[in-house]
Amino acid sequence: MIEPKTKKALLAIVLVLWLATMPALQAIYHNPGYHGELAQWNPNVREGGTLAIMAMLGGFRNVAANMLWLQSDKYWHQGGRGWWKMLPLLRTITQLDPHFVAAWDTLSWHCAWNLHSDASEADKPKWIQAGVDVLREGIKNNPDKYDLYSSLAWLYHERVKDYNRAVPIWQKVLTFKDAPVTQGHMLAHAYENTWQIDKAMEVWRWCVRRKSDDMVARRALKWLTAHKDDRAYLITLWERDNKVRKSRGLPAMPRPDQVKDKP
Amino acid sequence: MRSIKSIATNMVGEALNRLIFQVILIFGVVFMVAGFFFTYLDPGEEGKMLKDLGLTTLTIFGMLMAIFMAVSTITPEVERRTIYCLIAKPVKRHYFFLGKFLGSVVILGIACLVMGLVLVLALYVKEQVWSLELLSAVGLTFVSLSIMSALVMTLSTVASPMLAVVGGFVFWALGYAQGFMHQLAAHADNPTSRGILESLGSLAPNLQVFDIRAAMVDQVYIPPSYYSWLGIYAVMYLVVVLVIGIIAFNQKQL
Repeated sequence: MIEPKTKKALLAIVLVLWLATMPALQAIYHNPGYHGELAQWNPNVREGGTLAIMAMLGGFRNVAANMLWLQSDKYWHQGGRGWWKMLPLLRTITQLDPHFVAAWDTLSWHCAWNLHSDASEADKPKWIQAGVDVLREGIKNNPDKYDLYSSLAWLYHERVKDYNRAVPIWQKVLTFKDAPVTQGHMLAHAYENTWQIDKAMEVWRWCVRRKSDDMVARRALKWLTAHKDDRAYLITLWERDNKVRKSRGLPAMPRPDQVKDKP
Repeated sequence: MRSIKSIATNMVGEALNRLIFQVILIFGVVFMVAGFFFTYLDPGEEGKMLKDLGLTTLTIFGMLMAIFMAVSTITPEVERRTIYCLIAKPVKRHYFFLGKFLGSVVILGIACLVMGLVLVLALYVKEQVWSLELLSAVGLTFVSLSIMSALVMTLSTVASPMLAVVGGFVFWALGYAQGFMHQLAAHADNPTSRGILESLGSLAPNLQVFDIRAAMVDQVYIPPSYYSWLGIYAVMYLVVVLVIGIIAFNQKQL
């Protein structure tokens, strides 16, 4: 049996240590390794139904996110109304697992392309903006991965056709060591589309330096060397691009002969 | 110290031969390998699904093992009256308690290692990459399981085995709902309910902070300082629970 004196001392130690766990927890919460968003209850998770709520409380959010991912795939194949049902599911997946890059990417693409095409004319711009917002939120949760920057740049480049906004994001993508050389191709195309031909050639050369058997970059360099001063040909390309822009209700790009390479 | 070691070694030997340990471990490994065959359901994200399923399987089966193993450490010894032989010898009660705890920690370590290695091997077969980074998630799961084991052992000294099992599951749920509890407390208008929620939150171990499964699967960097703080927290919480357990076990009428 423990003596009453020893027992009191032990209980005092217990109390002190128990109180000390609180500042230790605070230090954990403020550590960059702590992923606070995972410990927080997010009301949006209710959209995912009982499974998501149970998963959040039981510590099985990742498995639940995978299950919802499967469910969203089922809705995708249904098309039509299924597309709209995918939206809350994908949203819940990103809440349950904010580091699930493919889910952010799919959600953004779903908003900016599929739901945009299914929405009324008045609502269309809203869905493109939703796609952009989703990617920005995803980037905030995954700033050390190039994938979502790349998707955002692609969205500006291909969907919004705002090449000037895509350029700095492609540049950011290339600061990631694991970004493949094809991301450089995209930056070069963005420069070409803003008629900054010299810069585009510089990027194509960089691609060749990085990967000597990059035939796409070699062909592009050859082509640009041959056509960069052929303004008539560039204007034909510009007219073709503007036709697409007009059909999407986007503003026209300036004529190539009115644009000079920015310093 | 020698008596603690002997009790722990004896406990490990006994537990390895116990059916419940073998069944839980076999089911855990089977579930982990079964996950391998379900990855086709998640096109493009097969690796992620396998890792998620594997680590969750390890947590669930590990937790079941921690709870049931901890309950069956002290009570059966009392029921079979084998404890009297030990206590009659110069073995102090707290040595007995600590020996049993150390034994369960070793068993949990073996189970985590086996399941963790099976997962890494399954991933290697699937992706031809050694995903050794997952072992840090396995390690932290092991720490959280050790905390749960100490907690349930302590509960079993003052409550019936059934109540200790139920208590174990309640603490498990509370441990993962800490973020939710704090948010609820922050939004409570009544200071009494806020106090109750806060106290409940701080009484239960915060298992959520040990859960780095998502970060590991998604290859998010965790700084070493995070592990250090977790270590400090785990040691402090373990000491608190074990000392309470020792006091309660010493008070127990045998």
